[in-house]
Amino acid sequence: MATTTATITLASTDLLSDSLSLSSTATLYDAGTTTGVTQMKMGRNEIVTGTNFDLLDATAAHANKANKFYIANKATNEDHYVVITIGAQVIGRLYAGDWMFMPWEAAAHTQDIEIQAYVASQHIEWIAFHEGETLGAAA
Amino acid sequence: MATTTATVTLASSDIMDNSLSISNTSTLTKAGNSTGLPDTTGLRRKRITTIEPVDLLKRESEGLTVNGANKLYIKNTGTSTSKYATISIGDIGGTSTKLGRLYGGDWMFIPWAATKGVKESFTYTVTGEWAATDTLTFDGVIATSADTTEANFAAVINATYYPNWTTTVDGAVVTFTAREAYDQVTPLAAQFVITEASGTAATQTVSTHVTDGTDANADIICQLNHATETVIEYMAIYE
Repeated sequence: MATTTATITLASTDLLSDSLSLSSTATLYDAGTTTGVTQMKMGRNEIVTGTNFDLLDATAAHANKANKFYIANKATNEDHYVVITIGAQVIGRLYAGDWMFMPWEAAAHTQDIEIQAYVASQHIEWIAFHEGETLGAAA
Repeated sequence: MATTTATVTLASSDIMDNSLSISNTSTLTKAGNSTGLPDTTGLRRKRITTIEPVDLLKRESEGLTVNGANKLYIKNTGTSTSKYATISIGDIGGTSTKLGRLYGGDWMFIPWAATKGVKESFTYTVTGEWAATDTLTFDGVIATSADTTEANFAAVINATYYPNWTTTVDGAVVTFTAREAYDQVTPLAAQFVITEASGTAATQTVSTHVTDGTDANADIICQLNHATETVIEYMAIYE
């Protein structure tokens, strides 16, 4: 099975009186197992202003899994941002250059990952690591 | 201001036919400008030994700027691949939204809008015939009238410390505002108890709401699927 890792490093020499140097690596498994995650999807989108878009759809197949997703805002203008929402809950703002990585309880459409751009259109890049998804038959 | 960077690396040599190698570094700045985020909770550890939900971070007590460029890091330091912590955003006693599961070793890093609910407020009007030694009990606190002037007793109420409410006064009208945002239990009038030691006809008028409270605080909640002691590490960097 695949071995996929996610590593974060938080660093600062002046946020505190002592240096901050935090690093953590997670190996991404299917829920409740030591089987490496085997499904992923990724993309790059332009998010125009004025509409809250569905970026990632939650489905029953994703329920109770160890899904993770990553989003990076590739804008460079510091006052441009996108708002990430799950259902009615605003998670936060990703300003230019910001990224996020989090687990995703994706059991129903009320847990879709939604995104809206403010100030100007922005490009975002994203990856979803998931399990249990099968393709639907063509209509 | 501080310069703090957050770097992510997503890597796999075999999830696809070609290697996956994504790396990005973000310099953490305040909303809409290039000034570094100045505040942090510092790295905290919480030992959790219950399957009941617990607050990791309460937005109000940490003083975060609503809709700021706040960031939040959480890690499940456990090693089990079957035991997990469900992370949610919302109010532990009200509504919340599940974000997802952190299994042993998993971490997350998210922006945190830290939105808040609305603090309940209502008015209390001193009416009727109050006299010295008449008392009013509310929120577990007793206020005692010193004389027969309604506005004076309103001032006494305003000067009284209530654990869950702050007050302002205008004549005989006291406005109560909740210290934290949450849904207020109604009817309020039943919660005010007058004791007429003087035998006069002290009365009161309590408005149901001036502002209806909501519990939409975007607090960070953690709930284990097991009761085995688990250490959650977390840190907010915020403005």
